[in-house]
Amino acid sequence: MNRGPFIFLGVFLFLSLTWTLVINKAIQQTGNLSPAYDESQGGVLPRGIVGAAAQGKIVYQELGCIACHTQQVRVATGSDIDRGWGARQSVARDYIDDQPALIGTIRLGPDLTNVGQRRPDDQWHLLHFYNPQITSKGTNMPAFPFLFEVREIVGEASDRGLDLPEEFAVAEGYEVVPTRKAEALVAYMKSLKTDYDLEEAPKSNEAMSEELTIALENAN
Amino acid sequence: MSLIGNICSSICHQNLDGDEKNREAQRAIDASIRFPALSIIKASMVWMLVATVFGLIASIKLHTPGFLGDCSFLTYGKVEPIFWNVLVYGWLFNAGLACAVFILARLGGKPLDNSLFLTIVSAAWNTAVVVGTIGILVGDQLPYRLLEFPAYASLILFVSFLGIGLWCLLAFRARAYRSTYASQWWILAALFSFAWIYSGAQIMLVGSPAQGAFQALANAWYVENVFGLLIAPLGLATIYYLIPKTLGVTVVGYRYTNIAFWTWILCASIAGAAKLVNGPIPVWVASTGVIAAFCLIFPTTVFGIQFLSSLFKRFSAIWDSASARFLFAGALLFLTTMVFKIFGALRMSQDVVQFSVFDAGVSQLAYFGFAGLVFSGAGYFILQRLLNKEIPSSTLVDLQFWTQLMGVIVVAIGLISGGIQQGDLMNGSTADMLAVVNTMRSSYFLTSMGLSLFLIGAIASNVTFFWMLLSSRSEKEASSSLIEEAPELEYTAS
Amino acid sequence: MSDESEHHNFPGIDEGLASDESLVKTHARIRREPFFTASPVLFFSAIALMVALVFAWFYERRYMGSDDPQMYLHERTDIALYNDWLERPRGPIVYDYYAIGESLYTKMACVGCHQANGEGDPAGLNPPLAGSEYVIHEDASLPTKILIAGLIGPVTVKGKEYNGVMAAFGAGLKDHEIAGLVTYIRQNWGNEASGISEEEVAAIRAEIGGRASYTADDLKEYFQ
Repeated sequence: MNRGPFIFLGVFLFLSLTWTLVINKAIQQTGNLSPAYDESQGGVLPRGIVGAAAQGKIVYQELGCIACHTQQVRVATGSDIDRGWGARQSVARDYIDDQPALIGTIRLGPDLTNVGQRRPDDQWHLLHFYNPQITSKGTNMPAFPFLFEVREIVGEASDRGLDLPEEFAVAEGYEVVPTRKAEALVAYMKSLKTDYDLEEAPKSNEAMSEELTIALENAN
Repeated sequence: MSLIGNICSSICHQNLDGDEKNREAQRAIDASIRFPALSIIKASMVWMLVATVFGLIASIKLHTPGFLGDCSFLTYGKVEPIFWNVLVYGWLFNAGLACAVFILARLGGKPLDNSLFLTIVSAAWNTAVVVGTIGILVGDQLPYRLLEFPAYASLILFVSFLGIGLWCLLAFRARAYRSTYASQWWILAALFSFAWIYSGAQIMLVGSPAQGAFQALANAWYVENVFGLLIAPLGLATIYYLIPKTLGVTVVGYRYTNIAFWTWILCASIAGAAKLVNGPIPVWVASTGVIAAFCLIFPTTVFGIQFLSSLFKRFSAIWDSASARFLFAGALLFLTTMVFKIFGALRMSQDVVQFSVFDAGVSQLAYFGFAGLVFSGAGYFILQRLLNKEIPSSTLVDLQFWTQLMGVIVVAIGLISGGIQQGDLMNGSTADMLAVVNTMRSSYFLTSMGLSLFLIGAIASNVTFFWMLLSSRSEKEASSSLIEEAPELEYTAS
Repeated sequence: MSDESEHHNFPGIDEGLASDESLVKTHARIRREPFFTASPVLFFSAIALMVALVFAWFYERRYMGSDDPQMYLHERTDIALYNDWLERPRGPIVYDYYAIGESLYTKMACVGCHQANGEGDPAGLNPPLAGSEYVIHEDASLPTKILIAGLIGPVTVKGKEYNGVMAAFGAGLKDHEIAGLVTYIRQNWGNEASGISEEEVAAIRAEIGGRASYTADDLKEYFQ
């Protein structure tokens, strides 16, 4: 223990040992997955996100949404499925196209894996981002008024203007219009859905038992 | 004028009289590292304030989301990562580095060269932290915890770290004594590990990204290792050094530090995988992490008995010394943190608290409580010797100690018990998220209270530091007999 | 040692109570001591080590039981149910035609001519699909035939005339894919018409055989 090189070698040996046997092994085994192909569900799974949704993902990172939201569904514990946050466990194959994968580590707000299915309405998202108190009174989600523009109505009101309720309305003759960033973020929210099944993804025990029972009945 | 003179004299070597051989040698060593060590301590003091302020802002935003809501660049998603990054890379790294530099120099036994090099690379490190913080504010953050700094900052950070590591390695090699002491092993382990985990994490996340869900694995591995292989080793090095220095006892059971050290390195290096139970990662990975995390019970027991026996052997002496009381609180909080980490890693705990603020609470206990307090205590010990000055006001140090200790405990209670509550509510499917937020409001408020207390302590600490730095020397301080010769360590083979 | 004017518990200087050299020397001496002595540290640590090893043994047996690198479940009973569920007897494939059509609409570049909003090209080459009488006709075989064999020449859709070329996709697409596309265009953009199934597409394909593209004239019987 009196020699620097000895300590260095020892630390390096232990670190590389655990890294190789756990992290590297995991990545070699399950970290090189290809997409699944299922004809009955429209072909290649997972379905990637493109266009405005991909731009919205960048806005999501910029604003640090991952500080409060996760994008993973658990089956073994908790009540993710009962809350309607998903129908099955999120598995590694769901994230293979995601660079970066925004899985998240803390839920100060709801899980967003399937928010596109739960809330397919543009207006809800826009209002929620403009001032979360409109859609979810009492929430501690921050408001993003800087993603919107309050501007004077010249001629006709824009059809992109927000339908603000009375208490949050802006001055007469003004409208609130989302910027491109807001629209991209909403597109990203709407693209978040794992509405396809993957074979290796377990569902809740109840769902699996039910499907098993039905399948066995139909076979006989 | 005299202020500038005092600043200069505080950083330049003073010719002091004295005829004790050991003290003279020590003074020479202190003089050789005075300039870089003082710069690093100054940086850590400022970062302590910045980190606490950002932590407080983040905490307030959780119960009062409209707070500072007009500032678009202070949205919660930016303040949160800034808080953690500045806490770890700004305050704790600098504070730990200052302790490491002092310990390496003193336990090396002779004055060290290349102090200008160390000053430059530590300045580069701090520049990188500033650049990274600005990067997050303008929106360039990466979505990985503790790695949010954009690439242009993290590159400077890593390169400057290599410089820091190189200096420390050269300092270790230049030592006069053939034998080493536990603190030096811990410091070396911290330096070697961080180079590996930082570069590994950057490669697995940014350079040649792992596929999808395994980015979460790489991130969790990195985050836990920042505590287990960087901050905790620096903190433990400081504890091992301060116990004999401030209390005059050998660490009880020091014989077994060896094996605790190696098992700690082994188990802590993969304990991070335990965070990913129930996630999109194969089960065996998380289970391995849980086993490793639980096996930390062995080194923790060694440390626990060592520290508690040594501290309680000289319990009354703890309160006679500014540094020893911080050491005592820090050591106790270390053991508390480890209990939470070890039992919190079990599946039965994670099933409840996995996505709650429990983990944030334990981390704050670890960083503010253990590392923060231990480094603050060591900071006083080191400052007295680098500046050859007394602590100007014991009231301020008292204030700092009690507000910081109470603050940490309040924050921990708020986040840990709140986290358990939060996890429970989220697991039962009847409470929707708004109901959860409502219930958590009081816990968040408690956390804000705790952080405000800590902020008061941080301000007191800064006042003391700059007072010490800038005050003119009294007659007593100008003499070299201010600090007496330390006796030999009392040790009897049992 | 402590200044009287300071707090009585609190000196202005923390005296060093051990020299650095003695730290190092003590380490050297302790190193040479035997490892196994009567020490509380050794005793309690040994207990902790045994607890850790026993835990590791049982935990490994319970939670790392499966060899499958893609096993996401940890409880034995859950894994058993999951394996049974995986091996359940499967019935005939049930297609989600709308989803298939949605994904193919982009992949087969329909979106390039008919646009993502189904409005086509007002300049006169590509007719709209939204609200188009050729799409939402009561008889789903109309759009199916057009998709399989193509359509050329002038055609009037929603009162406007278009004169473009609709390629024949019958050769490149399977029955369920054609059924998917037809279902999708008949049920998107506010269209509310019935879908079509793979079997019906196969029947239509058998009926029309391999033929040249339709013209609007060929299909006028649908509008009588």
